[in-house]
Amino acid sequence: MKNRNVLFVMLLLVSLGLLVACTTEPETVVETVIEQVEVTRIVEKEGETVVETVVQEVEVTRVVEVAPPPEPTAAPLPETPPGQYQNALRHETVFFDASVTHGDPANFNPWILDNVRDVGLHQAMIEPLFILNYETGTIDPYLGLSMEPNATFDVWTLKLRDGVKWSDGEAFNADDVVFTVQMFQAAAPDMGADVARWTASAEKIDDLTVQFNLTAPNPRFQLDLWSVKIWGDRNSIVPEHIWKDYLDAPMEFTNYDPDKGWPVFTGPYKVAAFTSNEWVYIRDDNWWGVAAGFDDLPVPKRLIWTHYGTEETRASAAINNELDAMANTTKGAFEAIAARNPNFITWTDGLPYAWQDPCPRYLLINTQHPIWSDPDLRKAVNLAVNREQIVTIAYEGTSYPSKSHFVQYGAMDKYINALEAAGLAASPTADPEAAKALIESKGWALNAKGWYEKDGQVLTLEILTMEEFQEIRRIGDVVAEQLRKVGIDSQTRVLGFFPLLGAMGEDTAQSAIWFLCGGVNEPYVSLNSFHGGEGAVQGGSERWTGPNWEAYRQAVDLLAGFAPGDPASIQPTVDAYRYLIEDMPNIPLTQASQLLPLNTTYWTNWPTVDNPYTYPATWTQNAHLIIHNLQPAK
Amino acid sequence: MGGLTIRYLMRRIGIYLFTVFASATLVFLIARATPGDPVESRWRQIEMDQGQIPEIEAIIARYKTRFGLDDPLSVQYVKYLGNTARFDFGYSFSQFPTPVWRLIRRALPWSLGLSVTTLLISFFVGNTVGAIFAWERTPRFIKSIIPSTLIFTSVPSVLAALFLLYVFAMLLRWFPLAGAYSRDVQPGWNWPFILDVIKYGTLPVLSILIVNVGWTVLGMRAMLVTIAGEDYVRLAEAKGLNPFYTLYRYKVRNALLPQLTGLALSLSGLIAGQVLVETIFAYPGMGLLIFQGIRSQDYPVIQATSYMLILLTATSVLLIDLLYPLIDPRITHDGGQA
Repeated sequence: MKNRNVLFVMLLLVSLGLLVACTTEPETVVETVIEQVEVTRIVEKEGETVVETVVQEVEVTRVVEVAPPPEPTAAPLPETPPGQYQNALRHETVFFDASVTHGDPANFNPWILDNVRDVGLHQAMIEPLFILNYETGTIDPYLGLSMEPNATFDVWTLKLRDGVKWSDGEAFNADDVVFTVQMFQAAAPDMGADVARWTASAEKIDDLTVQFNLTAPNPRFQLDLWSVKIWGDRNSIVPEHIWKDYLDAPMEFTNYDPDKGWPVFTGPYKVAAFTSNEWVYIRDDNWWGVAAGFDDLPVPKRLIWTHYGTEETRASAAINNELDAMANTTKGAFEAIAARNPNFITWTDGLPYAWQDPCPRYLLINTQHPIWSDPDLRKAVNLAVNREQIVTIAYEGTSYPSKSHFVQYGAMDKYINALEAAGLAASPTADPEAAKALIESKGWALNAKGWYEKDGQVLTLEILTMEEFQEIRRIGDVVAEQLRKVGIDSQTRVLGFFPLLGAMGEDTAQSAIWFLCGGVNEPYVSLNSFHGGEGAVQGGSERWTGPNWEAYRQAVDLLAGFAPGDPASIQPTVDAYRYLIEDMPNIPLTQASQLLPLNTTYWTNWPTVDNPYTYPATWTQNAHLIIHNLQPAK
Repeated sequence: MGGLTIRYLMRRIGIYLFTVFASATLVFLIARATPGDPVESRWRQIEMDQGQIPEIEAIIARYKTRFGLDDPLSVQYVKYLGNTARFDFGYSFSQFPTPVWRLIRRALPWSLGLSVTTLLISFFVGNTVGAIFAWERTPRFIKSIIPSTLIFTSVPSVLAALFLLYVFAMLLRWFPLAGAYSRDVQPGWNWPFILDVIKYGTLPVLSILIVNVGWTVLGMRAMLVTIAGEDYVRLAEAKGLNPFYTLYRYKVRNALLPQLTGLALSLSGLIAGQVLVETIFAYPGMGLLIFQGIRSQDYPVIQATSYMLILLTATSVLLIDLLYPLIDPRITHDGGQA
């Protein structure tokens, strides 16, 4: 036993010795060197005693610290040579989360309803003409250089970037644009319905210039029809030299033939393979952008979109570094991922983690319902709603209270600020006493059960919510609870999206939690949602009518004439919004949120709130910008 | 003809056709009993995901006309029956102009592979374990182990799938998380692909298997306990036959018949259970197709997949009914027992 102890101590000492020997601390050594030193001495020269200084060489022994030899640098990571990118290595590949899969994965026609656009086709291959910048509100050029209207907004001139080529080497030019417009005109409404409606003709001026003659003035022609605004540009330009053979039935063209190199688009990647749940794209080193001086080749050699089924499977893949960019995730799942894989980041470092989705949530009320036709009662609901509490409970802190119906992007700030200044913005907190006073002023009184009642009728508000959207269900539950606290007998009814639309159309429907995918850089599109359209007798699912609605429609019509972002449109926005608040057919609640975990194990420079070169959604077409900006992790 | 008569055959096929017809009618009616307009609903859902769609009303109108939803219900029904009888399921709403049969053709082999593999393993393993469980000569310690293998019987296959996924795909990384085969293999009759399919299919099969096998075990055990008291078993034992021979030849063989019926009937249940398992593993079978069809309110896909499942189940039951007299000579359909 004693021997064993001795052996153990010796092993410990040897280990410590090795440890010390292997450390990279500076070494201490004794060295002897010859140094020149100045010596002062007294000498007698020519009978005089003088002090002189001379330089003398002496041997000096000293203790010095010597820096350890530099550590050998890490061997460079292996690289996949061109031509073999299909087998690119993990550090050369970006894995994206495909939140849906497709029954026909081999159909690359971008106009199929459930098409494969957002599993890489429009992020890696289809390049847009323009991309809207959510923060600045500017429309940034991509394949298009500029698109300018005439003074009356009924003629637009598109200038294309020089040097753009399709992936098969053919030049991308005005002929392709004109052909695509004509294809849309023939195939509408299956494809390009809005182009067909607004474009009387498209004329080639020269190889890089196209003139659009519109059927009516449209200040949003560039933004709505030819830019990535939300999700993607629906009206992608296609190569004339391929699609002209399918002009009779363009919807039936699958746009896939690996022998011919199809699909052909202008992006820096090509389709390499796909399985039932995966789409693989490899980099095209001959991408036009390099020669044209537009941009460098993106660093990733391979991009893969994988559908992992449920959130549990996606989270498992993220923890195992089998995903680099995830689709929307619950806070609980993100925290579980981050606990196991701390390399995951989100839009914000800490709560709310989430990026704001462009579709804020609101409570719509049936203004034709016998009870809720009274605007004062709707205003009471608005006073009873505590938006901060909805964010805290329904979103677990991962969103923001809405100040208005608009999405709170930088480009919308000037409009939202104007509403706040005019006293039209929504309060983040509730005022239950004011809500009760307003209800009581209309003749309602609390009964023994604590509900407001008038003429034997209890004040009820049924809120319809969507089975498929946990977020919307949760919002509904919190709002119903807040209303119950002020004496409104409110309950939620959960329905699938399909029957929900039917139920909302019934006269007995009272309210629903809904979404407003409206303007991103201007208020017109959002406000137009309640307009009802030309000749309408009611506005939106709220069935809004009356003098305020008529005045509102006129104000919105006026707003339609302003170019997006025009500062002159601020006051008309306030004017229109005042009617909305006056009648309150709907009540803004919260901003929608997207919690998108991003993995920094292999790739860095993801967009974040501190680095907002674009937004972090990777299923939308702005992902071109993300892919071009990604850098390998060191 | 092994106990089968033409009269019985005709009657049985008549019942089969009526079952299929009635079920197809129900599928048609149930799909349309749901409130709301499926085309409008689908497009509004897309609008929710992708932002406002200009000219959406015109698009919806075109789709309704294209899919005959403007027709009166009776006209839609007659067209539906005629088309379904010819296996012409039309086009998918959500993936127009992809024909539904193309989606089914792509999905059905995966689901059949999953179901048949699960059924066969469940049948052989379940019956073998059930027989061992019931055999009086089985050592006591083995008998005490067997019930612990049945604990998953009371667990839904979706939870079993999540458990297997967590342990074997995420922690141990022995199996892939999702899909049916890897991107590195070429689909076809080649070994790398076949091995890949087995690797990717293992967890989905296990998820369904460990939940279902217990019922087969318990069924076989119950049958054997009943049969143990039969005269022919007592006679065999009295003759001093080898106990294992008695078990195999006299007991198990007779106990297998009801198990075979259960096998056919469990096919539809298995496929129904597969919906969630396939969704969890993103396995591209009929289950995932049904899930996607329901999610996108794709009438033609929902109708076609439901119809195919009905047809599959009804045909399996018909085949078992017709095969019974061949398996058991005591059963006859010529008017009485042999």
